[in-house]
Amino acid sequence: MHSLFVTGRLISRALLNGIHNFSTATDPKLQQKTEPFLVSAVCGFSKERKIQRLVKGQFGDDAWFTTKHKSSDVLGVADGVGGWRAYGIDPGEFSIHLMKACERLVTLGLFSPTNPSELLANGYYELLHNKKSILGSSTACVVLLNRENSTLYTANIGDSGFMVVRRGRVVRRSEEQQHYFNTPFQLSLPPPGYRADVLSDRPDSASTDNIPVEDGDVILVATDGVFDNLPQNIILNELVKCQGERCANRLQMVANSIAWMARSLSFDETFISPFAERAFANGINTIGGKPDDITVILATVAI
Amino acid sequence: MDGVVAQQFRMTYVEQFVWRPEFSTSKYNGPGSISYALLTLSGRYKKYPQYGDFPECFFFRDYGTWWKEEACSPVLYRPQDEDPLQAQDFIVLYFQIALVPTSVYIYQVYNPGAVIRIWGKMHCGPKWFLLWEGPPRKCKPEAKKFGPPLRNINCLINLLRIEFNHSLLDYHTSIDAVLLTGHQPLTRLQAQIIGRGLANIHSFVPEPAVSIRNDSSDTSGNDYFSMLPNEIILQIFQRLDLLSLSRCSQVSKTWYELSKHGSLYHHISLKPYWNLVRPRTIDYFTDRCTVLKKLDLSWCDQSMSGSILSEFADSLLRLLFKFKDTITHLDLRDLRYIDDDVIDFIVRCTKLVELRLKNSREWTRLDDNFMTSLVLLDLTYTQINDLSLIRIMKANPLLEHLILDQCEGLGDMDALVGVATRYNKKLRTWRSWKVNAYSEDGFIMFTYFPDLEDLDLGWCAVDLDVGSSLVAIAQSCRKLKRLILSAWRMLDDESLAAIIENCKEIRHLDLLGARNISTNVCERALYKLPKLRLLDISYCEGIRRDEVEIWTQQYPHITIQRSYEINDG
Amino acid sequence: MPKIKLQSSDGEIFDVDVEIAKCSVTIKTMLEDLGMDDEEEEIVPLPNVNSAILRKVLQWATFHKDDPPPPEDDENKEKRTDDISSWDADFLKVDQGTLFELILAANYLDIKGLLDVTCKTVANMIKGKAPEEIRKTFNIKNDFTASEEDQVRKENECLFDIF
Repeated sequence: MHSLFVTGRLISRALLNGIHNFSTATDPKLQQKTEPFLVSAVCGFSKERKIQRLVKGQFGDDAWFTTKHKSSDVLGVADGVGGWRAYGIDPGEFSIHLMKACERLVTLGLFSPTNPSELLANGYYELLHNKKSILGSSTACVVLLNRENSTLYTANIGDSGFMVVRRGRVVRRSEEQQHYFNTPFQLSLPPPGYRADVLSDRPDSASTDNIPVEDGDVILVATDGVFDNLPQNIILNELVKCQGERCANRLQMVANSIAWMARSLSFDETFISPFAERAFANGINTIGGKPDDITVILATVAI
Repeated sequence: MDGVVAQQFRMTYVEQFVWRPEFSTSKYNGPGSISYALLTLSGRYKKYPQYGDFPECFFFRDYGTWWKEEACSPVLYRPQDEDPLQAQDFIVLYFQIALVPTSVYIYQVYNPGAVIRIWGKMHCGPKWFLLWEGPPRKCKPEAKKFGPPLRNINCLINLLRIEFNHSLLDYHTSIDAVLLTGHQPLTRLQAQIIGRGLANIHSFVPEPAVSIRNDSSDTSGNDYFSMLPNEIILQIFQRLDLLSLSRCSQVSKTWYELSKHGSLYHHISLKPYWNLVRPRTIDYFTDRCTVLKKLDLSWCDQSMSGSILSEFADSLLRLLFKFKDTITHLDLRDLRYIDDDVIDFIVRCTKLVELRLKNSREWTRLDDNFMTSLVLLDLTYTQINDLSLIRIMKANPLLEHLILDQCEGLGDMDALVGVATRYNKKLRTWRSWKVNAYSEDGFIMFTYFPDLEDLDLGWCAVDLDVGSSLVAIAQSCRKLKRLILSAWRMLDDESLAAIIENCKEIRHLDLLGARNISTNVCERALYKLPKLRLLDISYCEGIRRDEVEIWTQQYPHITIQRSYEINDG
Repeated sequence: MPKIKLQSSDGEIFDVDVEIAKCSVTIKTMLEDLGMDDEEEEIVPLPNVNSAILRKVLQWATFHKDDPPPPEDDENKEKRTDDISSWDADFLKVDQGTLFELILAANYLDIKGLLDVTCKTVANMIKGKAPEEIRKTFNIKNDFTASEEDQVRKENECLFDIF
């Protein structure tokens, strides 16, 4: 029987032995090209106002990170599954630790700039090495801009996702991964002994993609609180405003407005949200927005 | 380097963090994870000035005086040559820019006070320079940016070695980052001028032991030593360190003969002289010893590189070959360049009773084995595989202490325990920290070792359902003194109760990260285990902080460890 | 308390408790072999120890009479020199002649503890000194020829990389 710990260790060891991404400031080769980079802004809201989050990088049970490395810029979001609260486990713990682990792996250069799925997997296995027993589950979406080939690599598990918009048209949008309605794919760490009872998807079930990007492309990475409450055209209208935007403050304003709209609509009981539409398609008669934590990372590619 | 000289040469002042941590003798975590890992020392500090237990910072494994009290802890082979500051661990850090150092700052974020020496060197340079040394200190529980006054060395360095002594600490020490500041020469010419010796090169001479003040020369003119029979002079010489012995041999012809007497060289320890050891040092002892019994060469290859290392290995092979029939204790810890050839020679030392090979990662195979009298075997951090280990275990029925901490090459621990139950019934110590190759059924076999005193299974059962095996172990191994069950997430009250009922000899109990144990049972451990001195209940979320504070007052003779994950404020 | 009479080489007689005298294995063996009784007025002669030294030895033995017996002299015996008690250190603040006489006496009388502490004291006087300083401290004649001395020095420079 292969324990999770052993699997994780084997993968991590292969990664840590193989790729060593330590950059040197004096490497002349990389100075010559004009390298793409991301300008980014983050905004979000917690569903419940009474849950206080003191750690930067959390909105309610959602978590996010943005970080840079010599070889790439990386963005990530994770949506903690709220059902754990009923069992006395804080759902935000898993997501924030997952995002922090991914962030640490990037800053230490222990990742492949073409494989965010592996990064996510390693971040997940890192959780087992934390002294604290981290339990819970979350979706995750990691997006990586590779400077060398100006390509965006993505990995997504569950119903968080990303959207890439170029000059007013959607170039790529992630597909939701659901087992069945309202049950997205998720990475989880159940309490030992309950592994058989808890839905847990393997990290390698992430759907991956790569998209060559151009200067000015707009990237949105968000949790399902956004996609469930904002129809695509509304999102598109906002993203179009950011085409080619290099000023972080102006990006911030658009990020804020997307987040704010999603939040308002989530509490609107008469609005036919994308969530309501999907529910209807699954035979569930419901209307209104879906109250949820909202996380928005908005970035533009600058070359 | 003072401002005047810096001005003359117009050098730039540089501050830099670690570029790449190179080596550590003690690690909380193995190479498969970045949490608490050595790798985290690179770059800027992440958590300082916060104080706490962070996976983003580097953690040592040992602390306090606890580790010295175990039956399998190392005993000095040659107490006459003990390091006065008793360095226990060290780390080696590489910096990108070679500087003439002005200061070193060590950002300690948990249990500071263990730094005792700082050395500096050029990466491929010939020698280490001692920049600072001082005794360990008891510090307040707050983050500390430690920057002691460095000696003036006027040489370029880009490698730092920092030595630690954890004996005053209450818990593991943790470091966030290390900053090296100094002056960088602007041109190659400047660098060469400095390199060639602007000022005195400071060399390390080992400090003599405490001298009694009764030290003045005798004015009567009598040579009292000539009154003494040779056996007595030898008794005096027995108490001298190796350096003093070498000086004695230069005093007179009689002293020369006596100081070469074989009985003075039964036990050799070169660890305190690690930075002065060269291949010819080994040859010196190969010639001088007649019967070599105990040999400690820990740390001794840290100041050698390139071709000198292979000369060192050759000299070592000659030494081992000459004394393969007399050596009983061999301590080769933290020697990076023990390779397969050296191992081949080691296994031919048939009289070996104690063998320590911690941290030697260059050897992977162990094809033959001729050792049959082993009592202690320390293979921490090595890459030994199952077959080789089984071969040794089968051949050594006297084995009492087996240390396999962080042996990542072992794939089937169940089989190993099975072999031990048949061939190594005298086992008193079994340590396999962070070796995750057990299954649920493997643990139950520890019930076959009723003499077990030290069982370290930390992080071995992170996501395993261990059920009743712990209860069975507790009932069979009643002599347990040290029981490490870190990150046994399934550990429950029932198992803990069984331990409390049966293992009355327990002194050191580590239950880190056991979510399910309750306050009641934990408190029972405190008053029902009469010999308990160290209890680690960090990250046990079923136990509240205020309860722990009360216990600390009620049971002052017990150290209760309780570190928390501390979030950003 | 039973007593025994000890006679030094220069004829002085010391009246000593038997238990204290028995810290010397030599005396202890003598008493057991000769089957000496407490009542008999037997005198144990110690021809190798003069009165001044014997007095010092007895002073040490009296102070240390309640010490636990030293461990067996085997390969693992502690050979440290930094653990001399302050009383012993003061006791041994004597001139070299006396110190060495004490060593000889402790050896002859087979008193392990005293031999140990006196040897440690001398060892501490040697530590940290260059060969010439050692010669000066103990008045030892340098009987090497110039070339022999040179050769020995070269031999010892191989030991460690010091310069």
